[in-house]
Formats: sequence, structure tokens, C-alpha cells
Amino acid sequence: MAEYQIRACTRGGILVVAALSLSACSVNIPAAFSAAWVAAYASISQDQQESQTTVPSADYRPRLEMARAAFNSAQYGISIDHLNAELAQRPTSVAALNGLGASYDQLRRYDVARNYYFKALELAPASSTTLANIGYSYLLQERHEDAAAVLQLALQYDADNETAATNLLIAQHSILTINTAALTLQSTVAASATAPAPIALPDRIPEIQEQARLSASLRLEVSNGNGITGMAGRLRNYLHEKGLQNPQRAVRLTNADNFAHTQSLLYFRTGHRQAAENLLAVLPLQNIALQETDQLLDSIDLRLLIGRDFLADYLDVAEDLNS
Amino acid sequence: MKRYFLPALRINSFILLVLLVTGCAAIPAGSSQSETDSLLAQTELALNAGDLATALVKLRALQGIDPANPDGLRLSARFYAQIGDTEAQQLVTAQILEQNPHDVQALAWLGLSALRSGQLTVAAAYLQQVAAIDPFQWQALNGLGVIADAEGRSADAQFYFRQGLAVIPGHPKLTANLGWSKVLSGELQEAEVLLQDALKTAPDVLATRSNLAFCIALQGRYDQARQMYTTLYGEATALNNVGYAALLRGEREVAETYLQQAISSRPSFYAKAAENLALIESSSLQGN
Repeated sequence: MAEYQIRACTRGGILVVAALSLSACSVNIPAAFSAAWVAAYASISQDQQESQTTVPSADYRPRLEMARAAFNSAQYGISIDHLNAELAQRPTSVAALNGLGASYDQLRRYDVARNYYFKALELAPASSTTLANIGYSYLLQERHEDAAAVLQLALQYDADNETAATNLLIAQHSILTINTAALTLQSTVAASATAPAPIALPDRIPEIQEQARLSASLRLEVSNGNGITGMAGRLRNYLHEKGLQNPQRAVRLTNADNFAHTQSLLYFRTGHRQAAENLLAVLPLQNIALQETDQLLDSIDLRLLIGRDFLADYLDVAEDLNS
Repeated sequence: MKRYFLPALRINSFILLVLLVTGCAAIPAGSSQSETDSLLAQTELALNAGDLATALVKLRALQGIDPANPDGLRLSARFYAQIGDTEAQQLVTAQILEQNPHDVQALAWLGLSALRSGQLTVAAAYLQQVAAIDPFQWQALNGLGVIADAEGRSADAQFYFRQGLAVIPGHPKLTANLGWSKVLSGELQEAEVLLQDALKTAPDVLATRSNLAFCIALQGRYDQARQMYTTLYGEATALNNVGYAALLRGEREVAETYLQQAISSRPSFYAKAAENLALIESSSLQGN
């Protein structure tokens, strides 16, 4: 309803018109009726039989795979090009919309990303994947409470959504930390008005990316520097869940020279910074420092030293929150 | 055997068509659970990829082996929603509810469908059921807010929209609807912020842009509103709408000017603007 007129001036009248107008935007209802649509499909299929060259591919997978590959290589512009092309061909592609959202998130264009995510949600309101991506986007923007709300919703629709579960813990951890810091500031009547420093979030991978930025040729040593039994092994299993192939071969578990390391560190051999950053991106951990070194064993390129600072703390917080 | 897609004749014609076109036969009865699971997964994948043709083929195959499968029914309902076949969607929804009268998604579909067709009482009954079962169902909360606004219950409406936003913060539709509710309750500055906020996320939603223009006009920023309306609907409609807003603000002379310009700017007779203008004149006469 584009126009308002005085006759519709009664409060209820305008309300009904406007509200229904708004409501009508809530569901994607293409104009085509099913029978007409099926006929169109038949036409396309026949065309395809006659000429494969003049009709766009009916298979969405190659283009989505190309987009995914570009995304995983941090070529977000190329990913966006592929996904836009896919969306032009299949406007109801929830996968393409999510991919566009994820790509724009990486480009820090959160407003554009949200637009795509919420369009995806219109098409599939119960999509845990889309909700998890929105939550991830909020995490990137340090909107921790919003992230937690959306991620909880994602888990409500799919309790097995591991990405959502992990990111929810991060969001809750961040809220808890900031709130605790705020309380401390209040109780000590701190003179500084500076807000608590935001916690650097691990660069969690959105759904479009699936599991794998971890290189198949990763050679990692996980070194227990805090003395907590099984910590390194758990981390290796975690990396396996995140797509690391042959974890037994790729990850070597060792004990550090002592168990009193307070600071966790990720050492990387010269020339392997990108691999180190990729590893950081999938770790469920925070505040890990990177350090270049040429002192690593010949058989490894990265060495993750687990200190007392974060992992135990992270898990303790998670358990507290769950209880 | 229960049906969950369409009346029998339509089903047969659909299957025939699909068989003719794709050569894909329905899987015979007695197939394993893994085949059902596989078809469900493939259907969902196809729907997520926007590949409705493949989704249809898979749904037909699924229908052949497990026509009452609850997940299949849900995917069918989603498929029909995407192609806009509300009749078929309602049939499927009814079948879902036969199996589970408390299925939240099915109840929500019915409620939202009733809302779209203007059956507010019916819609409210369904959506209240949904909200009682699942307080996180933001679509139901949004629908209840829309209904409350339609019934002039702004406070209730805003409560529902805020509840929805607590479930899914930043949702542009909930934000826009809350903004419009604020317009209706006269809280124009808050409304403008909310509508702007919604447009940051969903800039291409015509209703939100139009509502923002109206909100701005109601604050007396007529030129700005007129420009916004012009980009949406053209000059004549923009002048009429701004004139209408001026009238609501009690600025009759301003309103009259805009409405006369609206009439002049349209080559054909602009009945709506003329009616608005006539009402101004008649109310002026009554006032005198």
C-alpha cells in the first residue's frame, strides 16, 4: 500500500493496512504457481538435453564449490562473484546467501553480511546454519550478548551444531569476562574511564567454510606446558574434528620442559606464518601469541605450547556456564 | 496411505511429469531407512541450494517410499512455501498436525498464513499457541505484534516485538515493525531510529523505506519525506502522502498545498488526493 488517504485515517484501518504490508514481507512467495513452475522446469530440462552449451548448468555444486574454495583461500571478492552468479540463477539458494554473508563478514562489511543472512533466514527460518552465521557475525562485531542469543537459538534448532556451540561458549565467556572486569572497575572506583579491553576473538570459521583451512601438510607439535593431563590429546582430537587429516601423523604430542608455563605460544618456522594464522583461526582458544623461530625440530613447522593462561581457564568457564 | 502433497489427480500428473522429464522413478515401497534418510538429506540440500527442480524430484521419490515421514512433510511444506503454493502447503501442514497437534512450525505456518489473509482472530489463536509452546518462536512473536498493532494495542505490540528481538537481536523485520508501532503510538524519534536501523540491514524493503518516509513527514520534515517518497513511488504519490502527513499534524494549509500539487502533477485524475483534499475542505467548513 503505497498511499495513505484520509478515509483510512481511522487508527485500526491504517494499522491493518500497514501491518499486513509489513507482514507480507516476511515470507518469500514467488509469483509463479507450482504448475507453471513445473512446466518451466520441463522446458529447461528439454533444452538441456538438446544443447548443453546454451543453458546454464543445472548443477549448483560446482559453482558453490568454487565459491567455497575461493573463500577458503581468503579470495572473498572471487567468492562473492561466484555466489552472486549462483544467486542470479537460483534466487532461493540459502547456501549462496549464507556464503555471501560469510564473505562480506570477512571483508568487515557486517551490514551487507546481515542483509544476506536475514534473507537466508526468510527462506529457511529454522536454519541452524544461518543462525550460527549470524551469531558468528555478531561475535566479529563484539556484540557478544546478541551473539549469545542467536547462537542459543541456532542450538535450539540443531543441538548438534558444533560451530554454534563453540561460538556460544566464546560469546558467554566474553560476556562473563567483560562483566567481571566491569564489576572490578566499579568496586575499586577506578579512575580510568576506559572500558575493559575487548577480548580478541578467535577467528571462528562460519558454516560456508565447512571445516578446513587446516593444511593437509600441517606438521604440528602440541606441547603440554601446564601439566593438565590429556590436554594436548584433546586438542589433537579437536583439530581432527575441525578437518585435520591424519591427526596421529600430523600432530606430535610432547611435554614441555616444565609445566609452569603461564603464557601459551604458537611458534612457527620462518615462512609458515600463514599456516600458523590458519591454525589460530580454528582453535577454540584466545590470546595466543605468535612467535617466529628457527629452533623447531626438523619434522615440524608449528609448535603450540599450551600454558596455564587460557585452555584450563577456558574449559573451567565452559563447565561453570553449563552447570 | 496418507497423502501429503496434493490431491490425487495433481499428484499423478506431477509424478508423470517428473518421470517424463527426468526419468527418475519413485523408489518402490520397502526401501530401507537409509534411502529415506538419504532422500531427506538430498531434498534439504537441494532446497538450501535453491534447486527447486531437484527438490521436487526428491520429494516425489520420498513420497513413494514414506509418504507420512514427518521430516518429509516439513520439507514439503517448505518447498510449497518457496513456490508460493499456499493451498498445497496448508494440506501438508494439516497432515503434520494430524501427527503432532503441537508441532510449532506447522502451527506457526497456519497462523502466519491466516495473518496474511487478514484473519486476525484465527491468526492470533494459532500464534498464541505457538508462543505458549515455544517462547523462542520469533515469527509467532512478530505475528502477534502485528496483530496487536492492528487492533490498536501498541503497548502489547511493542512488547511482542521486543520479545522477538530478544530472541533474535537485530532482525530487520522485527526492528522495522517495532519502528512502525512507534510511529503509530506517536513516538516518532524512536521510530525513526528503529526504521533507519532496520534499513541498515535490509535496505531494499519497500515497506520500511515507505514507513520511514512517513515517519519523517509526521515530524514536519516534508521536503526530506517528499524526496524519499518520490524515489519510491513518484512525484504525485509523494505529494499526496506528505500532504496526508501534514494533515495529521493539523497543518491544513500545508496539507492543502501538497494535495493540490499532487493533483496537478498527475496527468490523469488523482482520485485519492482529491478525496483527501475534499475532506480537508469539508472539515474546514464544519470547523467554521
